[in-house]
Amino acid sequence: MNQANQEQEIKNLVIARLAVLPEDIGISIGQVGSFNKEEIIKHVQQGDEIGKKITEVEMGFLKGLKQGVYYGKEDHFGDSA
Amino acid sequence: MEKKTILATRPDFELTTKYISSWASKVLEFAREKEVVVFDLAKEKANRQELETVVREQSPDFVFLNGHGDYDKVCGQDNECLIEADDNAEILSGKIVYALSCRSADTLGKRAVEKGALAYIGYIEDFIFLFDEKQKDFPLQDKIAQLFLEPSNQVAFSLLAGSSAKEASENSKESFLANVKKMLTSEAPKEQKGIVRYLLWDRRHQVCLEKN
Repeated sequence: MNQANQEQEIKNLVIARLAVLPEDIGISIGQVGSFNKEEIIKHVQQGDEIGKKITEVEMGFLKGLKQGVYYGKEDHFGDSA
Repeated sequence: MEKKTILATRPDFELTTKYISSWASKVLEFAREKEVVVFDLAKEKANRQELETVVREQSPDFVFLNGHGDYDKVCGQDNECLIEADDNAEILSGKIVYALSCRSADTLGKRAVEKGALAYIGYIEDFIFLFDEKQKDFPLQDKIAQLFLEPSNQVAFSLLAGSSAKEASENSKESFLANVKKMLTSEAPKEQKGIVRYLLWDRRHQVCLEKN
């Protein structure tokens, strides 16, 4: 898989995960602003800075799971959430 | 015995500052119950001049900063820079600081500790919280935001109750974790389980800096 395809795969994955959040959810990302679900998904699709930040959160969590994060084990959360 | 003192900055000019400053009011209520002297720099009072005056004249034990920030600064009302690493970080000397602000623990926090702050608890990355769009005019009734802002407040509650800075940060992280577990139980609505990754993000990026 080339890099562009891989990036698109990641975007699709992140969007799929955002899509299952409650409909009325909003996200505040500090000084960048606050966004509703639809706006956040749009930022991920566009791959801008806001989209990249959300992707970082989502992928960081998935990497943590892959590394065998065990819920409740303090140290694991600290290192890999 | 001399009374403890807390200084809080609580800007309020858009959604994020409205939320964090509303939830910070719970800390100040608790402080008053504990007979801690409170200096509340809310809204327009959250400016650099007021902050520096109160710090100089009242020398609060605990400084609770709420507002937007960046690696090297924390801001107040209308994003006026209140404290900047290369400018006035020394005003935090001798104080315990909790900054509910994006990224500021990275550079400002380190500088503040170098310049004599007893401890600086904050975030080395963006503090992200989720909220309920239907409740955005009533931040204190927002059960989604509560999942984030109660664990954040735990830092301040713990400090006011006599915990060390390190213990206060650990208590806050425990509180984030308790909410993660709550979200992962079968009682939590399925669509809310996604909130977990944002709780873990904030938990992971909270640090407690102290002089070695």
